Amino acid sequence: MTVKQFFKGKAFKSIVVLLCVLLVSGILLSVCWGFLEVTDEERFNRKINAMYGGETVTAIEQDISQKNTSISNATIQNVWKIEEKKDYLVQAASRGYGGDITCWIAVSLNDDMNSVKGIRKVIKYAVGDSAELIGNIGEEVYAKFATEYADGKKFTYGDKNSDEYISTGATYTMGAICNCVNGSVEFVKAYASGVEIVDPLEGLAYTDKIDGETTTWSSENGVVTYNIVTKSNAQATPFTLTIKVAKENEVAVITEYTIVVNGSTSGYGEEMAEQANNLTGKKLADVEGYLADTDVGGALMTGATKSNTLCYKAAAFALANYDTCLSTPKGGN
Amino acid sequence: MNKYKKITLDGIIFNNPTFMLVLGTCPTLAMIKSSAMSAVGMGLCVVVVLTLSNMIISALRKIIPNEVRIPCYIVIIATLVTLVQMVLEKFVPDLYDSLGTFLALIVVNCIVLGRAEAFANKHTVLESAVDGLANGLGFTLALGFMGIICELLGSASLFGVKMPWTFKIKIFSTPAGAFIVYGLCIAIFTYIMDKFMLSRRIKENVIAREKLLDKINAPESANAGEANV
Repeated sequence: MTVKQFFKGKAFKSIVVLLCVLLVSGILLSVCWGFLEVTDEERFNRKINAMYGGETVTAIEQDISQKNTSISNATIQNVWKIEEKKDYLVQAASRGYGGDITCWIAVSLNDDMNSVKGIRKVIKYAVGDSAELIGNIGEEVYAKFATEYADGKKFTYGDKNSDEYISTGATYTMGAICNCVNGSVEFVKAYASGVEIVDPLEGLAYTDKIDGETTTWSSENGVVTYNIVTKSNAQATPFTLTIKVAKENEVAVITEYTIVVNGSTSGYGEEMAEQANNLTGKKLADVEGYLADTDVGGALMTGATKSNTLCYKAAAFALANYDTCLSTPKGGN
Repeated sequence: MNKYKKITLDGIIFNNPTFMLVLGTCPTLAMIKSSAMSAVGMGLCVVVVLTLSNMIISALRKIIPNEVRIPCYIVIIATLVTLVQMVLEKFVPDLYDSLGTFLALIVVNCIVLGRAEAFANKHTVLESAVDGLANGLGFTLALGFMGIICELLGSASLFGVKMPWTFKIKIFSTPAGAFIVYGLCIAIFTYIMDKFMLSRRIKENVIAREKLLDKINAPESANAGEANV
């Protein structure tokens, strides 16, 4: 085929037409983007409007970079002070079933601006995964946070074992929203009064799945007895474990491992008990080996992967921190 | 005029994309379980995209070579969907949020590409516009109808307005419930259409038979006249 034939051929015409269609589409979209772009500021103002019913308010961003932002299984992402309303508006995220749930929580302060008066409103800000059943949670559920707030109250609408449990068909999502609200209130309480929130597990290893507020330990005759409460891990709800660790030949070893509350999904209860038996006598290196064994059918991937992870992480926490916990017991919080 | 009436009736009823052709199932199931408002919103977005894409594709049908027609159609449809997305995000953010990823997935909706390939590239711009509008409306009506059922049963509300009763069957707010409603609606719609088509065929047969009898009787009476003479 000569060059002339190519330019007169169908292939060339096809390329030109396709490129022209692409070019026109691109130009059209670019022009429209100029008129229709939604800026971050516009998005923020829309959410503020949703929060305060269209009222114009001034949101002053607070610097929280030096603060402990991991509280009650939630992460505090942003905090704004709303002067007109005597509120702190908190953006907090917590892990739901298929991704992070991010909420906005408006926490009202008393006139002295040092103490929390209540919760003005809670709204959903973003959902990390479209598969979340967040649509099941109606406005009336969000409204409960404001109407049922009491000083020191921890919301547990997503916890099936709680009297407060609300059946929405989206238990994990509901749990994540409760975490966001609890974490935000706690953060604002400390922030407004100038108190620093200290991470109870600061300086310890393998803390990512451990609930620092409820986990305690004590030591006696060289044996550290841990009462560990784990965080939830996707489908697996928090486990409560009693783990005893002592030194044998200068190496910390699990001498007793008891599952007090089994957080695994139904059908895996027995498997967890078997795993607890297997962990007795194990060292940190063994447990680390289990955690690294992520092949299908391996120690971790038995069908109850999420529960296994929680149990092994708790064991690793108990073993790795033996020396520290032996000298500094931690009572209930 | 009859031609446009036929195109319209085909799109909305006789070849309804949702109930008769079972196209666009993914957004259908996703939207009807959410709320009637989301379902209607999705339907209206499809109306806009389908009508405009049909018109543009029909206008360019003699320019676009057959070999690259599908990529060209996809680019055109994707551009229109992106435009609709931008407009919704700017002016109707609540609907934009409720439609989520399914808005972008209109690009791969079988109805849009199906009508472009089956109709728009063979007909005039006006005919294609009517076809796009009719099919889009057929899709919207089907989604709206099923969305209303799911919202009433699953959330005890209608277009977001709470009903006086609180009785809910939660499964109708889930994909499983949407499947049940969709299946039942297809069954009922198909049954009604079958009955209608049967009665229409019987009616046509009766008319044809009468015409035939008239034809047969006409020469006989003429012959009888001759005999009398």
